[in-house]
Amino acid sequence: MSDEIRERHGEGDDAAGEGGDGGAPHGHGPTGFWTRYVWSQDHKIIAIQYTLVALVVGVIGIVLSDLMRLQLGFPGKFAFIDPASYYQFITMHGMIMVIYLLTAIFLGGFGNYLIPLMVGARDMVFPYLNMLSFWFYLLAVLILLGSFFVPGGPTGAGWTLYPPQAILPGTPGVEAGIVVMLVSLLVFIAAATMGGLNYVTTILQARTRGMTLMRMPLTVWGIFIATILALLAFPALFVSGVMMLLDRVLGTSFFMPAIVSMGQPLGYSGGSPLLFQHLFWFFGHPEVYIVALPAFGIISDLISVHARKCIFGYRMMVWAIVIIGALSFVVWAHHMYVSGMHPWFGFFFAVSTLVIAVPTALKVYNWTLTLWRGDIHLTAPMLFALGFISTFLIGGLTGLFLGNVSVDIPLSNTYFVVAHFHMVMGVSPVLAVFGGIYHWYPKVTGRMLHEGLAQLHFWITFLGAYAIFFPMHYLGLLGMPRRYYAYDNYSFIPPSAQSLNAFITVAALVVGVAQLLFLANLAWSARRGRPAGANPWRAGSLEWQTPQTPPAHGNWGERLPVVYRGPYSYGHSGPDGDYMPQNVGPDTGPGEREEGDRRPGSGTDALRPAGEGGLA
Amino acid sequence: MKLHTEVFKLLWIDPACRFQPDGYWPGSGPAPYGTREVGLWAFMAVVCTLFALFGAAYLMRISYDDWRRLPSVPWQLWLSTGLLVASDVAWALAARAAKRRYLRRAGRLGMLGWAFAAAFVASQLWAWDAMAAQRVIATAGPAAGFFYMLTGLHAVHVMGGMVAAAWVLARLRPDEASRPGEGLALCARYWHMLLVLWCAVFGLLFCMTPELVRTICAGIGMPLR
Amino acid sequence: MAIALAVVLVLIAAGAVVFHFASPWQQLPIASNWHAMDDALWLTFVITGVAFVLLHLFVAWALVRYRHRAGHRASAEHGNRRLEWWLIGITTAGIIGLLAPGLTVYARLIDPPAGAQVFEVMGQQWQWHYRLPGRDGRLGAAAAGFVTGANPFGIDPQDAYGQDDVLVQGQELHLPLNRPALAQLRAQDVLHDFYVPQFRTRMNMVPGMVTHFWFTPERAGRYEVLCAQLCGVGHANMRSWVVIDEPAVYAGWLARQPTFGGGTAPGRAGTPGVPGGPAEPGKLGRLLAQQKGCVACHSVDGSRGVGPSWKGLYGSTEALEGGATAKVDDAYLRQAINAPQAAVVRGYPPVMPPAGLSEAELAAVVEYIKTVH
Repeated sequence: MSDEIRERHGEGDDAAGEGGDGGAPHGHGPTGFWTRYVWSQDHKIIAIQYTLVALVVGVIGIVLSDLMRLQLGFPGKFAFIDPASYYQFITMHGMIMVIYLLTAIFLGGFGNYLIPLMVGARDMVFPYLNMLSFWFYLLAVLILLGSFFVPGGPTGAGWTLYPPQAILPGTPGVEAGIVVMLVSLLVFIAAATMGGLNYVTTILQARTRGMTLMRMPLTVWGIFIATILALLAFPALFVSGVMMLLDRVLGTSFFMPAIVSMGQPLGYSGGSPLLFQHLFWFFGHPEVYIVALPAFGIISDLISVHARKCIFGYRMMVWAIVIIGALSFVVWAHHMYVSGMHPWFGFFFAVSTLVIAVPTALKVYNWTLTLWRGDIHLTAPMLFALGFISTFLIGGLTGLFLGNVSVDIPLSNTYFVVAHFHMVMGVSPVLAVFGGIYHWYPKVTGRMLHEGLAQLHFWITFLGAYAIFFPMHYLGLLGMPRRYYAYDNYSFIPPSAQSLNAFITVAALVVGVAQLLFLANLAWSARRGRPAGANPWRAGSLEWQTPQTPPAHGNWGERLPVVYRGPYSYGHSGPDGDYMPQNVGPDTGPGEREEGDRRPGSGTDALRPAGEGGLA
Repeated sequence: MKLHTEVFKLLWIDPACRFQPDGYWPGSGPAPYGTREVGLWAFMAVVCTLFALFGAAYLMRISYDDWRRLPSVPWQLWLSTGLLVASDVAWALAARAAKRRYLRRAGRLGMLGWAFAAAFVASQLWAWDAMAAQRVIATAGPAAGFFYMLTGLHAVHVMGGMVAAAWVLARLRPDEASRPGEGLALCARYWHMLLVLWCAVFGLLFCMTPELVRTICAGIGMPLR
Repeated sequence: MAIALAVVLVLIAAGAVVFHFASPWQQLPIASNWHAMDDALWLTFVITGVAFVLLHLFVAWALVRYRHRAGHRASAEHGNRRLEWWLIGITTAGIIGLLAPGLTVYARLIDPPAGAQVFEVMGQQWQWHYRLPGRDGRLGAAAAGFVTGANPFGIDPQDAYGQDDVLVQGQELHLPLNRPALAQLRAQDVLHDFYVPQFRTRMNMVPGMVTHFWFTPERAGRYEVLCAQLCGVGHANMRSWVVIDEPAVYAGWLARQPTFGGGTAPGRAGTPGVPGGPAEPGKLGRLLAQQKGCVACHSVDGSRGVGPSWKGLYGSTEALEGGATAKVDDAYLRQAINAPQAAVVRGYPPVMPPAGLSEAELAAVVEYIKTVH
């Protein structure tokens, strides 16, 4: 069959080029510039496209947050930041960061690049659909940015877009901005679905021989479960978006009760704002795990490689990811404790929310236990992984305050919540993104990133994040509500709080500017970085074992690899040092067993590849 | 035989991954057996989740005081149902014929299924017209809003299916490597889902009452807000 | 580098503890009966604080002990099932330790006592209205359909129970000390949230619904009310006050408030449907300005808000966007109220919606502005 396929593919020699097509045997792969780098169906190119677009919108998101902080730190000093603009900045900052940066970069960036390489496939199983998913994502981004240019500007309803205020006068962007936002989200959901189908099907169907589900790196598990969450949760956003669009454009009353707005009775009646909140958060809570689970997976891999030690408790780590993913669908109303929903729901959701803390805590313990008795190299990826543990810890612990319904009530909608979700969603997953990029950049480009710049970037970002968000919790304890344009003349707020806000603003500006170090490093090292070789970190997982670096089209050359063990075989003597790559033949070392290899004939015995039998 | 192994086999998932043939380049031909099946199952799960959530929203909304039931079912919707059933049957027969390699017959049955689907969409628009003539427009009340939204989105998914089906039919070739039976089987499966969703939408819109919802919620102890 | 990072982690752990105790920003002193909520919060701080410190110290220790050095090699262990189950057990115990007090308090929070003093809060962009039941102890029926400028609560004029409802004048609600109070919350237009940090408990106000929360004020004083659910550009300016009075003082205050049916609380005759109270020039305009939400953005004490202050406005000269100036007379005010985008004052954002006042309302508001010196 392979000969037939090669024939059908035809001739067409591709010149060796920097994109790495030179190694593609027998004329596979596109040849022109446009089909290789623009309309590419190669998962690696698509991943880079996703990442570049996501980083660009991320920069826009940071600029918006700095504008907000200018107003909060130095209220009234910047005349162009009026209340309407302020709320527009908040909304666009939140939406960009959560959806267009974090979701896109973890699934579309890391997922696209790493999944086929880590499971031993040549590409995603539906490459054309994969390509379409990127262009839909780009379209969604352009539509979103277009909302800055429509009459009335972008919506200022907060990233949560609650009705009725999102579509009523009194909120900026009611004329057109909210419609543009909703349309952009609907396009993004189409893109995410197309990508998601690829990731799920590739992981299930395109693993190479010997790559059982329990031999996949945790990065793949994290992205896999996150993708399932995305496929099932984004429809809820779609539903709420369509219904809000109809309320705004046609005047239906899905979410709009009888309203008297600015003295005028409106034509709506009977709808329920709470219905929107239920639908939105049914999406919104899994969304935070769509961001967190890939981050968890990446951190597991970073710690394991850079501490030269098998991840502690691989099997439990997989189960924890699966259980967290499943539970994430039954905790949503902890965002709604003070919404006016029926009070009995508070009991259920408080319990489910605190239960989800248990597998999450186990993951944190296992990361730290991986360090114990390891051989810790403090490279840039390891620094970011450690930074992740610290910031995720505080973010997760403050989640316990907010998940416990009666403790949440005085803290809801205050700066305590803002500090919590920034630490757990903003800072720690972003540290995981940075760590992941520092880790895999040598694979993508064949060059190392400049280590000194990377370490400087880490220290400023990590310490700066604490400076920004740690004190913010206490402003929330004081009772300062979030989403306030200014705090003039509130007698319960001491002047020191305003000084603190100024301090936080300065820290935020410094951290924001420091990200330029990262971008400069990426650009500079692409040409001038030290050549990395195939496996500079001496990692055991499959993506590092490609015949070429950067990997050529088709990834593996003539033959697909065969896998003999899990990805965390460290601490053993191997051909290249203290580890055994996944695809190196049977090891004769005594006592080597994989985590969870207990069933004989289950196919994960290190002496032969898994070919028969079920899950191992 | 372990249960999870059986379930995986049913869904074409091979956890030990024997399916990956050595020389397969994605995009260069039909994917290994089971790949498109899994992809379609995943997509169908997404679509069913979408409609399930719309249904949940509907059930939440129906219990509020301003609910007015839709007037009687316009006869065009019975016609729609019949057309969709015919379309589904045609696709199922097409898939069966293709599996037995009667490709000409399969192609014709597929086109018949496609035509019935097009007629379904047309009958939907006719039904909309009929409702509007009875002054049930989108803003006439929550039930009306849901009527247009649910039938509209269902029709969008039918049209999406028609696009994919046209592509499958166009590439129907008596070629071992292209496994034509598989493509038509996938269309048939998707059409079964469309029919099930249509019946669910129909039932929700015209058979559900606020009293029924309140009784069920009271029965399971679920508060209504 | 490993030592440096370990030191930083230890400093973070220690610094967090020190900051917690030294921070000038803490919860405001509690003024209600919900001490149990504060206790649950304190317990959460203890449990999470211990976890935070222990894990940071553990990582710091591991960093120092197992940092890479020549000849050092990692262990080949894969894990320890027993340890994992122990950790799961300890974590679960901690979770239960948090949930038990939390849910116990919650069960009481959602169970208001019979005989609580009911008060209604009606939220509107961007101000508050307060209503109390009159001598009959019941609030009159209300619905959005009855809402007008003079009847912001939408009280049904035909409902007998509503006639003696007390409509609080201005933006300051009073409540009696040590008596359980049940808040009944409604909103005219968008979501709001009645939040007084010192009372600890609060709830969103949802149009189309009535929501509740209850508390017993235990400390007299004047407390700021904050809107804590984003409600548009005036969200940060939606201000009012709650004053907790000794019962005798409260009774005196209550007696001075007008009722829906006219007259003041003890029942003096007056025009039905129009708030009673002593005469004052520009009064109708002032009430309209409050009801329409003008005061959210335009102060009367000279302070700069979203819009220009009205203090001393009439007769002055305003500088407009684009360099022109305008004398503030009747014609200018009428245009500025009903067609604000025509001439925006320099230095202020162009966010004012047209007030849509009728001729009579316009005249009343202009009269009022004239009185603000």
